[in-house]
Amino acid sequence: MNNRTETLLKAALLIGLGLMLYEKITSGTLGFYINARFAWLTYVGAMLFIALGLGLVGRLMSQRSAAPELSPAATRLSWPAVGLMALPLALGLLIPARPLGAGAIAAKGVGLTAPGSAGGATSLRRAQTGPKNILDWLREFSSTPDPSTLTGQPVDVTGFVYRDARNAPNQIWVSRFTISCCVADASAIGLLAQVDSSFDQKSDQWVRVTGKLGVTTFAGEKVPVILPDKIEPIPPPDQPYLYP
Amino acid sequence: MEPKKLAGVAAAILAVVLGTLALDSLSGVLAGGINLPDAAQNFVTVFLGIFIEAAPFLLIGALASGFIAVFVTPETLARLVPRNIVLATLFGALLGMIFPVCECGVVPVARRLYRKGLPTPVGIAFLLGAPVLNPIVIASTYAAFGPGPIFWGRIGFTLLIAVAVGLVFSAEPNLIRVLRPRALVVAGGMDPAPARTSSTAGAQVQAALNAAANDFFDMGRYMIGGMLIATALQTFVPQQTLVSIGGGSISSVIALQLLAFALSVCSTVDAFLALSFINTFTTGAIIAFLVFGPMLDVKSIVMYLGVFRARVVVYLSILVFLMALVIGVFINLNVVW
Repeated sequence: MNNRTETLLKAALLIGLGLMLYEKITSGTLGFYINARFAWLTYVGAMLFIALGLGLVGRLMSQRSAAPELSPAATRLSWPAVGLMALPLALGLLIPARPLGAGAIAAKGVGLTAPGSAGGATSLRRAQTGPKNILDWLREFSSTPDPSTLTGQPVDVTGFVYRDARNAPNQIWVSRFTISCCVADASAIGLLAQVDSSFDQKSDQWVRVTGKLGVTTFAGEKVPVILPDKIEPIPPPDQPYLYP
Repeated sequence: MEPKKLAGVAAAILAVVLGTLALDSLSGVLAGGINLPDAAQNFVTVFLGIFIEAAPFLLIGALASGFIAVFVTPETLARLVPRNIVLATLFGALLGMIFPVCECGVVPVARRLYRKGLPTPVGIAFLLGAPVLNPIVIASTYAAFGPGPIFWGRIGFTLLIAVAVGLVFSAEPNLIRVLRPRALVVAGGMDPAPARTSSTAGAQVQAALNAAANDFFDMGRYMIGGMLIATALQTFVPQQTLVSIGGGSISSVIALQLLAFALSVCSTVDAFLALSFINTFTTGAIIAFLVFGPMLDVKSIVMYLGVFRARVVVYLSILVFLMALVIGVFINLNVVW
């Protein structure tokens, strides 16, 4: 491709990538990809993409476009490279944004049990507002050697339904993913819940579970379990992940 | 401005905007209809997650590179770099304190500095050291771990490996045998003289922005290629086995090094991730994770291949992997914190 086409294409890709990031920000789906703590970086990225794209457009329009280039022939863009650069743009705009779901646990599989929970004894505990979430409970479990001392405590958590081979037929996981930086480091955590045979929610369905804690045996160990009073299906929350 | 040219540019911008809006509304329609299989959907989510997290850093690196291209002359650089080889390598490892870049952003900057005539070992030390030895990463590591052994271990051992590997490469001072030919623009490895001919500051800034845009495309394709591999590793290879060997004094170090390699998490934020291993993994393993990850991961290795000859990347990878491993195991076996 000639010089002009290449510059034009680069400008279009840069502006397109900037708009893709902008779309993720405005549609509220940025939280499906990265920890909200780093959202400001995405703002910076969107602005830089558009600024660089407009800079190239400016060069095309300026009379001095015949001036010697800083990056001459060694940096020609090939069509496969264009395809590669367009990939995040196409995927970001064409594929509907969806957070990680139950299907990702099988490969991620970092552990749904309390001891593997993120940041167990560290000081990054969140300020207590509202009922404890799944992460808060797992931290509490890891500092409580005997689960039966927690029996009877009221529980009010939200998460998605997940079942694995270790579950008894009347057990489900109420799960969440925790992420530190972005979904690349997601790990799944969950609380066991006792359900009766009438429970028919599929994996991935988000639920709000209220009830009390009890104790059950899971994979040969005594672990806490939710004895639900109520399990209600809810739409996926705006912020699907927990931040350890 | 020729009207025809202007019309062409306007049409291109319009096409991008309209295309984006069309794709956007199309994606709304698709959301109801087409559902990708779970594995494919998760692949897309993880890939975009890595891209959205890393792209701003590559842009910042490309921007730094663009401004160096225009405003730094080879003479200035030659004056700054110490004559003594050890001091020069140390200078390279600590150059990140001036150019705060992560492992994505460091590659275009290093390539640009090579074009300005930076000696081979200094550039290698910069490449390996800068992603950790810069204000942003030092601050985020401090925020995650405080001024303890992990914080100081990360800084000290990164400096050690960066300088040591840099010195190893001083045995091969000829840039032509280290870099890929296309990474050096003209014979002799020098940039064309900076655009001093265009006198106004505005023109110089525009030249810098344009160089940055070109750098983003030069390095972006390698970054995206690396991201695809990293995403595939994550989506399709179970990590359970890796994490289940967290206790052994040697196996834990190897496990976290492999995890750092596969995850390709940006060095500016990986300290917060490492925090979640603190109960399950040994101290040596966590330090190895924090030292090795920023130097080498799936994404950066593909980017290195865009700049260095393949043979050099292989030597570099083996050296860095083994040194981080030795350090991690040494800490586990000999040091009681």
